[in-house]
Amino acid sequence: MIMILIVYLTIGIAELRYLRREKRKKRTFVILIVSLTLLLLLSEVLYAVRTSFQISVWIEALFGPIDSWLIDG
Amino acid sequence: MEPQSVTQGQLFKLFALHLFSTMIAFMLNIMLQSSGYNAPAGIMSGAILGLAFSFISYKLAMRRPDSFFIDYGRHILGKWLHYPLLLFIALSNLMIAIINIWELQDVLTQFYLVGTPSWAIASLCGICIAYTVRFGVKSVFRAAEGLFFISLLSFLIIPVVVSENFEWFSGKGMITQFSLREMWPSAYYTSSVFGEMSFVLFIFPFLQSPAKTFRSLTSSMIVSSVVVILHVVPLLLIFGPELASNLNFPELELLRFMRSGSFLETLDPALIALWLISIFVKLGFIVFIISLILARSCRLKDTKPFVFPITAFIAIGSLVVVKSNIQFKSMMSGGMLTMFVIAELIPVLYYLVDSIQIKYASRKRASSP
Repeated sequence: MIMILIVYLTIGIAELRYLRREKRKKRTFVILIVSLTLLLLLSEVLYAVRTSFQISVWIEALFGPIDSWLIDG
Repeated sequence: MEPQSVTQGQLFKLFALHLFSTMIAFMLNIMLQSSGYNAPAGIMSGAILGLAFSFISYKLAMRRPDSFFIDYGRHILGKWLHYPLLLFIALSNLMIAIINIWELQDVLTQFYLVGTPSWAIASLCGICIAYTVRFGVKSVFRAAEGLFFISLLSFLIIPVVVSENFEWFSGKGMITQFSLREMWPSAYYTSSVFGEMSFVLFIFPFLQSPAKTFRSLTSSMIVSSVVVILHVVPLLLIFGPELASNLNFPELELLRFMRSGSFLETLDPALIALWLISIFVKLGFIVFIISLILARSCRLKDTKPFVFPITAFIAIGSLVVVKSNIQFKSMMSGGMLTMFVIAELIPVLYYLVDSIQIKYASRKRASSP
């Protein structure tokens, strides 16, 4: 979990430096920081609950009935 | 953004690579499991169905070839519907990328990098993909252009070298066991893969001579479906539908089958390396589309800032998406592909609403004095 944080921090620092070098608007910085934070939180949560919950559970619950209706009739 | 930087030849090569690499590497056992001897016919019809999805998205894009669908879509359906639909398309693209990296890890840890932790494989693949995409759409398409012929050659050579092991008598099954009902599942699953061509809608402003796009898509469909058929038929002739559908990666087993005494024995890793790079190109295109959707929705000038975060998320997602191979299989045949089909059919909704609006506006204009 700390590795995930380090990965996102490294990406964040590198991208922010790039944006500063390109003299981008403040809005771009805010968008990048917000999206990085959201992705970080989502990754950490998914990683923390990986043994009890997987994304595939939702996908099967949402689209499984349509799939079986289309395939088996 | 670099307008009109992608040629039609590059588009054709990218989609051909995109379609046959995943179909051959990961989808064949599902096809053979659901359709048996009817898989080749199912794949052909599914490819045509997938092309039909992309035809509608091509028709929609040709109405405004110079502007981004992400921008004009909100004038068609309204922003309250447009952005959630875009998010759904982005999420399903994210899932395509996640499952592809998961499958890559699975192949590599089972056969070539036994004992390597999956996070190491995921991060290495992620770095390769992110670097390709960060330099823009041009680099993804150039990579496809450079790889296409050598990759196609490697895929074409496999059926030839295994041909001496064919059991020709089992070929009879493909003619005598014909059944539309058995054919349908593999046609549906194939259409979910070939329908990914409908995402060309997002990159229309980057294309040179956009009117010829559908011709390129048709050629990619024909080339890749022929290549896929050239791999399914040998599988049926050597292993038969029962054994092939129970192998996790039938194509890899086919490669190992040709080993005995063949001079290509040592070329096996080279072929796998080519597959890997083809899949990287495909994933590069998908990551580019996701970052384009995010960047244009937030009204940013370029996709660069989003590329690394999204690739990192995909790599981490691939570690947690499923627990085991069995769960993965049940997800693939239990809803995953339907999610992709729904995402690919979203442009149809836009096309219908846009056509009604155009008709309504012209009628109004005709009736007003």
